[in-house]
Amino acid sequence: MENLKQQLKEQIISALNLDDLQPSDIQDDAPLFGEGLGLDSIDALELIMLLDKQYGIKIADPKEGKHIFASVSTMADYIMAHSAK
Amino acid sequence: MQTIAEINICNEQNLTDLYRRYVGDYPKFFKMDGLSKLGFVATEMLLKENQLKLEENCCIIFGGKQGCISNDKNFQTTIDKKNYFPSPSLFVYTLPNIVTGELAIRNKVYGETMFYFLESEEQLLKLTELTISKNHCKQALCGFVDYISENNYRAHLILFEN
Repeated sequence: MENLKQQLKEQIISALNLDDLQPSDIQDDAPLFGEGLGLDSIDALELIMLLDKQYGIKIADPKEGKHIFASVSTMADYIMAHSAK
Repeated sequence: MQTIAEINICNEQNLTDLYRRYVGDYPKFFKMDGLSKLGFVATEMLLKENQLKLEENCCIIFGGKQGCISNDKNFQTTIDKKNYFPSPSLFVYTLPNIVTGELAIRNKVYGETMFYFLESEEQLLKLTELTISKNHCKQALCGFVDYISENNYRAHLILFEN
């Protein structure tokens, strides 16, 4: 699980061009949107694509996104439960 | 139309290095395409070196030969029929006038913004003069910008006052 979180942080930094951040700057449970990393709606689309491209997970219900992308921990939990790759 | 300040940068340094030296506190820079990074860094340098701020109703009038072709090519690489993941974050920069929008957001400017495909700076200056004469803006930020890569670019910006 820890490896997955570390991998996710690296993938988020790469996919969202957060070039001034290191994986260690992202806390496992810190909010990704709003007061956390301050991601926006375009970033949300990139995260949806990241799950699809890297883990073979398609999010059928967009309403789920708010919970799935709450933090790195919630993303990792979702990937562990739904990963097809 | 009077010139207030002017800057000319051309392949000087990596744009990210210039950002770190002159700005450093605007993480959105890293998400921008090359053209927007160029316009952004050049404007920041122009304003900081001359200790200026843009007026709220400033017009932002940019032009160039290349537009955002560099980003368009990057975006095209993400369109693959076998592995179809066109990038939303690249897509949003597939219009050259986005650079003027980024500058308006950064500087809280509400005046007109525009980007022209032009062969020469002279054409841009004529359009700027015409825009100022027909508008009520006190200031116009005029920029001729061409971006090929991080180390291959040129930008000539002039801040005019009416």
